Amino acid sequence: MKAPQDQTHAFNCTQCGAGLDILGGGRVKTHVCPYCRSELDAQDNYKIIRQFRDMKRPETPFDLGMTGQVWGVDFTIIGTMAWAEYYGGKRWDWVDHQVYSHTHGYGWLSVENGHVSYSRKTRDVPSPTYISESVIENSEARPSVRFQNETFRYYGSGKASPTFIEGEFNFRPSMDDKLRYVDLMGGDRMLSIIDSGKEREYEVTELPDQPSLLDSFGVSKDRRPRARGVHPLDAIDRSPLQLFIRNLALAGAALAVIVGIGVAFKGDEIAESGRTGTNSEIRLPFAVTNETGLTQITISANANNSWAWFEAELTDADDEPVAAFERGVEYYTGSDWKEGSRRVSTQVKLLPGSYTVYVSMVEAKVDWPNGRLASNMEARVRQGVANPDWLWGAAAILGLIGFVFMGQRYLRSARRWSGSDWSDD
Amino acid sequence: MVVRVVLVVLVLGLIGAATVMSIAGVWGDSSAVISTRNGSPGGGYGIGGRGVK
Repeated sequence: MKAPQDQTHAFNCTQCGAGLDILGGGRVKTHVCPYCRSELDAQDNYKIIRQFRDMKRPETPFDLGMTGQVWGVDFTIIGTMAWAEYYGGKRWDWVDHQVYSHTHGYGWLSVENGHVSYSRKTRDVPSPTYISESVIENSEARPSVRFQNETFRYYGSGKASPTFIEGEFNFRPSMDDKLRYVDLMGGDRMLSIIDSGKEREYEVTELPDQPSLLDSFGVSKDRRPRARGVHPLDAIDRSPLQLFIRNLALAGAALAVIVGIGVAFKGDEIAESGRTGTNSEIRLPFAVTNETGLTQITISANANNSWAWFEAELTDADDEPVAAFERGVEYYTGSDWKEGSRRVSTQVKLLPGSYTVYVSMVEAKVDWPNGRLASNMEARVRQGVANPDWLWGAAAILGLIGFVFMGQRYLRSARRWSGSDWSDD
Repeated sequence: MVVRVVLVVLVLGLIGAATVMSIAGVWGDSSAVISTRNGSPGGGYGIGGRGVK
């Protein structure tokens, strides 16, 4: 719904005689005639203060007198002020439109890089109240302030001058103005500290939904600005379902890891050979009674700064060979390090029944200073051992889903901050 | 709400299935094991493995 028109009055420019509408309420101080560029004193019978010349009209989708809504509040465009900032041979331009609401007073709609943001002055003061150029230049970490129970971190700063002034303002603009600003970004708001040299003011900027805003102000399709890049305040606004999926995936990943750790220790020891010299063979009979899970045969030896290689053969109750494997252990240690393991485990799927495992050391070698060949060895058999890789896989899939959501937010955040002039160097 | 319940069931189903497969020891045989049974070279016990005997 369109906002009701302000109680419109009109007057004739005291310089050129053009008919001008009064849209901006009782606190308007200045009216700059769009025709002759004369700055008129709105509080002194529109007395001519000065006349601006050589102003180039900026590109903007808004005109004086347009009405629309910002977050449901009716506003009227009453003034246009274009700004330019120069630094390091580069130039930045943006356009501010002073807007007026019967109920909410004055604010600004700013057009920069095709994005339209809304700013309003605030009487709340951040802590600290100001960030000087020297603080910015000499800080090791990005400066920040606390404002309305939120931390705002330094985004950028600079000095800007007007390039175009037209319409009504609740202050007295001048082409000679030079404003120093410091922008600090919170979650989805920007706090600007603006120092005109005469006074210091604080503004809060937010980013309204762009299509709704432009529709509300009746901006035609051909005048809509083309947004370039990600606006710093364009945070990802996730739907509750997306957040639920992210949290569910991460919680599921955590649950899979916990269950995986639980099943990784599953299994019962059913046979143990005891320590045997490596010059003889281990013969270890055992009976598998558990239908589920794996049978795990663990060989350990007291190798030190050396390796040892073992052959193992598995036979059934009829002494028929069932399976065979070769495994090695190697263990190295220094004053503050160690590497390898003195034990090695092998899993095999066995049906219930009686078996015997034969283990013998077939080769060993010392290949490190102060090494010692393995002199004794041991074999142990466990049944009902699980293969937790399935749970690690489930955790990886669920974790990936969760981290994709988190990574998306991180990348978005990086793009939001990409326009900051802060450097850690 | 229904979507959320379905998603929870899916996640729990995935973890449950992974738990069953883990406890059953599916695909858990060590690659070093060589079956010496005739007709079953190289520990090819198949998915879910009926075991070497």
